[in-house]
Amino acid sequence: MKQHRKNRIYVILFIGISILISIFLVFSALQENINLFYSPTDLQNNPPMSDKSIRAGGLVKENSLIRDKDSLKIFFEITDLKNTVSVSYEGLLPDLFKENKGVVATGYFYPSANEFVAYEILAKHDENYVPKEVKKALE
Amino acid sequence: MIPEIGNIFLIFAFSISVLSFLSSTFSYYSNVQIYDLSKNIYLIFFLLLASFFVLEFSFLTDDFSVLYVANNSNPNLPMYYKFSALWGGHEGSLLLFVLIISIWMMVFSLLSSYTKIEDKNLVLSFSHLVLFSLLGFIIFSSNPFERLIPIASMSGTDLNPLLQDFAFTIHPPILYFGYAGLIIPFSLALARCFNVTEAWTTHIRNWTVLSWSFLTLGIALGSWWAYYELGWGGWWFWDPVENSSLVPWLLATALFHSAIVSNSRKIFNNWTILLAILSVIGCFIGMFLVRSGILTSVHSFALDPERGLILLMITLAITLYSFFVFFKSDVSDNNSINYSIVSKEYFLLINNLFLVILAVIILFGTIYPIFYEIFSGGRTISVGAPYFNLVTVPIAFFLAFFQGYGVLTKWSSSPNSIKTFSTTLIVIAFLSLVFSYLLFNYLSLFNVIGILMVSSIIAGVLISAIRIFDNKRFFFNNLGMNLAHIGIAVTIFGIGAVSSHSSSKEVILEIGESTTLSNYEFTLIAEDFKEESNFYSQIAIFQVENLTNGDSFDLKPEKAFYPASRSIMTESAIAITPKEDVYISLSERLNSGEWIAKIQTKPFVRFIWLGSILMCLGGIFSFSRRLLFK
Repeated sequence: MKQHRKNRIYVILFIGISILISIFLVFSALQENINLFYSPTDLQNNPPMSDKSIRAGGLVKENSLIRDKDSLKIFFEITDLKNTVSVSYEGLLPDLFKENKGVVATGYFYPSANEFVAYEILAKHDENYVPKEVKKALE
Repeated sequence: MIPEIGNIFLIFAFSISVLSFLSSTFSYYSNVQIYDLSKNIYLIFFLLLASFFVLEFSFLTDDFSVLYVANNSNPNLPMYYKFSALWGGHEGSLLLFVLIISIWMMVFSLLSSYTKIEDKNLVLSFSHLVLFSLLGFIIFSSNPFERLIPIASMSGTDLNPLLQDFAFTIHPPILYFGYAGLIIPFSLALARCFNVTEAWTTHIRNWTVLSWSFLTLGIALGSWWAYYELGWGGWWFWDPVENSSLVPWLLATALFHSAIVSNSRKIFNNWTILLAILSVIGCFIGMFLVRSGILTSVHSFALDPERGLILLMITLAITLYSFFVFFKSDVSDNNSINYSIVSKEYFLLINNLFLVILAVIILFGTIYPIFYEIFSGGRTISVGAPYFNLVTVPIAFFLAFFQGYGVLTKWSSSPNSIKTFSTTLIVIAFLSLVFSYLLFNYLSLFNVIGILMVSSIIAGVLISAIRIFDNKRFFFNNLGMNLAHIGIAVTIFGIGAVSSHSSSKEVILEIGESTTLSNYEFTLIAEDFKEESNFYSQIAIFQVENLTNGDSFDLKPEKAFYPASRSIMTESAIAITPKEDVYISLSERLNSGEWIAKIQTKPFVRFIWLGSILMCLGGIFSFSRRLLFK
């Protein structure tokens, strides 16, 4: 085989392998790192596995916010006006977190206790902005 | 009356732009001689500039009969922010964007000379295509001069407090200079498909490098702004808005590297054209994602599905048109060149391959939720930051690792010595050892990856710098490139250090109480209060003592309240030390008088932006050297 033809085959092989590896990388990373959205009603009717990280959203129920005395633990309830789920979270709350306002939390759901353990509470920049999913959940 | 004048200016600019496009196209197909149409762009520029100042006038005089002003300004806003509020929303920022496009077209027209005037007309006509599409979009569906009659309020709403900030005022214009500049190589590439061959690769490389410099600086400013203004010390969130600026950046980086090959070796020609088209399409997809509200993002604009649809149509139209032109064209490579595995051509091919793969997987992760929602019947998902970290780090590693030796290779016409290769490996190994010894007490896999990347790039730069002893011109010719490559290494170093060596702690403190983090002791010593024209804030004063050397300083983070928009802002306080940032942000004040705060140390975080500045300077140097010393 001529040298330049050989080179061309190397190039094509190299490109092909790189693309295959990237596709593999993308799909394996995607499997573990997507968070499905659940409204409180979804959580009731169709609870996810408790080892899978999900997002739950709705309104923060009025008068449901309880703060632990000496730690950063917080408990509150998320409602979609049909069902509610209790949420526990340890950490700082975003500035726009208020009762009766929309919220999206990321974490794990434990159906037996009907409790959602959040590791992240999403902050939104705009007072009037309601997350798309929350809007839908309230309909 | 005055806002209507602004609107008329816009309509004039739109008409002239449409006419310029049509007449160049007509002249190309009919072979009718036409005049130098490139002068039109001066007129368009002045019309858009006038229109810009008309809108500024409405902002500065608090004319709340203009809907856009009413939505984005407030009488109590300081003058400076009233001025920058113009680009705080969708309509105004788009007006700024088209103004910047016209500036690029004007500068290109001034600095480039063509022997045939039709060629220049043709190149500019493709820029006009983009320009008038956006102008039409502004006039018919996003008009900043739209009136609100009767006037709803005399006080306006407000500029989002997050945007009342210095970095914000300059971040969008610089970023827009980056995006808009890519329209020039796009036009050159399309014109090449119409057989405008004069210096096309030189032009593409130079103009891409210049807009890439702005893009780099713009993205870095955005990251810096997010770091101190969002209040929680993150510098990159893999948010859709950030990703949609990173995708064009990666494509533009690939583009000017590919243009170097096309320029010197007359190969990769079609690939260069394709990349130039893709970079602009990348910008448009980004613009669509940010402005249509289709993705939930921390900083998207006020949302309107109709506008999203129109933007999608414009994006599709420009995509289809450019691909049609591209596939109909007949651009060929110099077939007599066969490059070997160890050659500059091959290493630049690797560079392009990895950059484009990076762009594709980032774009894929960004828009995957849209497709998921469509195909799963309405279930929504989000793709988390771990996805992006997992897929980008390995690819970025190979990219940086090959970069070091890649810059030292020669074109395949001259032989590459095994000596260079072995020297590079030795220097990389040496640098890696030095870095490992100096900086890290322990080595995780992540650190090793970072050290190898940085060492490899620096090795390339060092060895190429040593070559000045052989050839002084060689160094000067490559100064821009070397500066930019050092910039990449500095940024990667910052990313590596801050990702693996930051420390952070969330605390509840009452006045007089202290806590320690890393080698600092933090004591909450007092509280304060201040009132400004458009907000007031509570301040907590911390005394921070460096336990290693006994130095101490105060940090005063704030919690600000903006009455006009009834919003609360976290103003972090940052102390910059040579090694690291000490960062405090307040969460809230409990009824008991205690403060909840987050304290952090961020080693070498400044290197991330310092590196970006070096990249930008390298790019600007490279552009101006080529311009001044042709």
